[in-house]
Amino acid sequence: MQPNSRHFQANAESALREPNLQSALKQLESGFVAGRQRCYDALPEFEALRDRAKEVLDHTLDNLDAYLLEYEARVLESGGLVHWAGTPEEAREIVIRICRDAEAKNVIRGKSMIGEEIGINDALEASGFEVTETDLGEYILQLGKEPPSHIVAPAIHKTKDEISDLFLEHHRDLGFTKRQTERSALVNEARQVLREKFLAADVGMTGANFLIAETGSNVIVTNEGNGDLSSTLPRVQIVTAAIDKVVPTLEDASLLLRLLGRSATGQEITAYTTFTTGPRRERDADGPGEYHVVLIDNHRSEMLGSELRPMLRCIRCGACMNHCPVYGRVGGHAYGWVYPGPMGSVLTPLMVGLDEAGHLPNACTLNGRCETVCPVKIPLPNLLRSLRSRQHLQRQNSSLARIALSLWSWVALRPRLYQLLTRPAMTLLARLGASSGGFRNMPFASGWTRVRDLPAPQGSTFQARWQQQQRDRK
Amino acid sequence: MSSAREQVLARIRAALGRGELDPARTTELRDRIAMHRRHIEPAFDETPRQRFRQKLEAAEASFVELDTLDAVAAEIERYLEAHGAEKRIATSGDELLHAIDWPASIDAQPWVAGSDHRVSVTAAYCGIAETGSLLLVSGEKNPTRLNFLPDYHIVVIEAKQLVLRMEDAWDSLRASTKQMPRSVNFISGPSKTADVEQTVEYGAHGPRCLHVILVG
Ligand code: SF4
Repeated sequence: MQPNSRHFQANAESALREPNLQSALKQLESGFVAGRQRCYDALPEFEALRDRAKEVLDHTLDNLDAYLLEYEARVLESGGLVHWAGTPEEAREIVIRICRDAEAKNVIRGKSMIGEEIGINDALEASGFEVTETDLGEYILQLGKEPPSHIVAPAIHKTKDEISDLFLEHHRDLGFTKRQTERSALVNEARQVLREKFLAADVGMTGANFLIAETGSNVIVTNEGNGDLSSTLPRVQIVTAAIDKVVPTLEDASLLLRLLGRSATGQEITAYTTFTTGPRRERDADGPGEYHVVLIDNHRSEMLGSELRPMLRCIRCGACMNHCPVYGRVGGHAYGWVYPGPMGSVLTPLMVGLDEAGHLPNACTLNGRCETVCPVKIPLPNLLRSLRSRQHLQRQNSSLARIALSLWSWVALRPRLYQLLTRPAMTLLARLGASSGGFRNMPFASGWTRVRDLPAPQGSTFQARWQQQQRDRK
Repeated sequence: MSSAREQVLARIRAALGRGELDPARTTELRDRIAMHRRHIEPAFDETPRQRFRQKLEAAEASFVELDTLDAVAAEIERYLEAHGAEKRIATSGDELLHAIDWPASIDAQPWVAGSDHRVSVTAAYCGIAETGSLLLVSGEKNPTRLNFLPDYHIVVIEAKQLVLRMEDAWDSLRASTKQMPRSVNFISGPSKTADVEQTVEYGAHGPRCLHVILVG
């Protein structure tokens, strides 16, 4: 997908004015956020699991080449093939070549973020294959020709009404002529339409939540069962996975699985957790005859060598975006690419460039909630800070911002001047905002307050209050 | 020009500030794998049996406990009648199911390629108490699709097959087979989705209903 991150500000502004999106985002609190909290409260070992997970993943990253080679050897032993891709282009070429060699027509996909990252659907379609997303959320987006807006719940921004319209439009020719309005009827209709696709597919593509060096397995975690049907029914299976998905053992995967569902959707475990190893065995009753893994770098080795290495621990649970006040107001599309929220604000600049996605590291209040909930303890605010300083060093932030910051630091380093300038302003602001406790509009700063509410200061500056307190003590 | 594989590996090594690992270190890492070290295993108060049932029921699976395998066929008939489901079922070839004496009123056939049954009966390799998960593995007699294609999935599991955690299942699998089966499915409830307005609906792509029969 073409990145559109440079328009973050405009995207965000329009997102704030979309009532449907706003009510969907509000639901995150009562859904995913509350669910995670319940899981957290019910598991005294949660913090210990986070520490151990971080340790295991750091160990894996320190030895990434060796574990990838072990993994590769096990896949080959099990009869599968491993293809390496440095870039999205290479990955797409490999996938298309496999599909061509298999003389495939129909490709079905189980949801995978790496598939979005490398833009596999457009590439396959351009090469003449029919591609169908089978995760319900992704399917809805495919019909609506939209990118996902959340990494776990991709169609979170779509209303039932919009889905009803899309289904009627696209399923009418298949004999579904009634516009369904009940959720269950919509799910059922998609089940019937997609069942045919599953049965007709030549190639099934999935991602991998983890790759296991010990066994050469890929792990997928779903609630719908679409990933399993995609791995089982077609005659060829292609797994696309990033190089940072590998973990040493089945036990290591079990550790991470205890954190993944709880952090993502508030589930101790999802309905289906599947470990797939190689193609069907000689005597197996079913399963695909070919099993391919495409291992993709796409800037991850670069991250490995930089201060952003901790980002490679990410298990794509989505907790950071569920808990992010910025994501919670603007939703995923505003970020303009595949990965939204705090993790996206780190990944997008690295994958599409800081010049395109320079707004993202700044679309953060550094409140730290993301780091607090991240199951693998990624210091997201720090990583964003370090991207900001890269940006500053590359002189990519706006000249106005640079001048304002320099001016502010000049004043702030001169306490008397700072006091002189801030005290009257605070008094005025407190009077103006006294009735509501906040500002919708503030003179001279409409660039800030047009889409933000500024809390009214409580009457005096911190310094003034500090001095008052010192006087009171005496 | 070197292959993408060599380039990726070279970039990783450069990022880690070293060359290829020396053989001693590689052996250490292989040993780490071979140790199968377990991590933190959350404690629970319930008995494994209680826990297994509770978790599955909380995930909207239905659950019955029977004393002997003899009672399984009647239970399945009752279940199908209660759901108004047809009494035509595909079974896996698992040994455990051979012991079931099907009445004439049920048409139970071992699965063959191309069959389109709406009800399947399979046997679990084991059950995981911690998460309330059934572990089903693929093989000559166990087609994976029976776990996902039908509307009703009925799983028979013997009480002695219950283990505490996923890690116990790994040990058991390692002891019983040389190689990981191609598909290892942990199933912890019927298929569901929350992709329409964040509200859970059952029967997305996999079975609409999961029925667990614990024997013994
Ligand atoms: S950064 Fe952490 S919280 Fe965010 S998706 Fe990745 S693992 Fe989850």
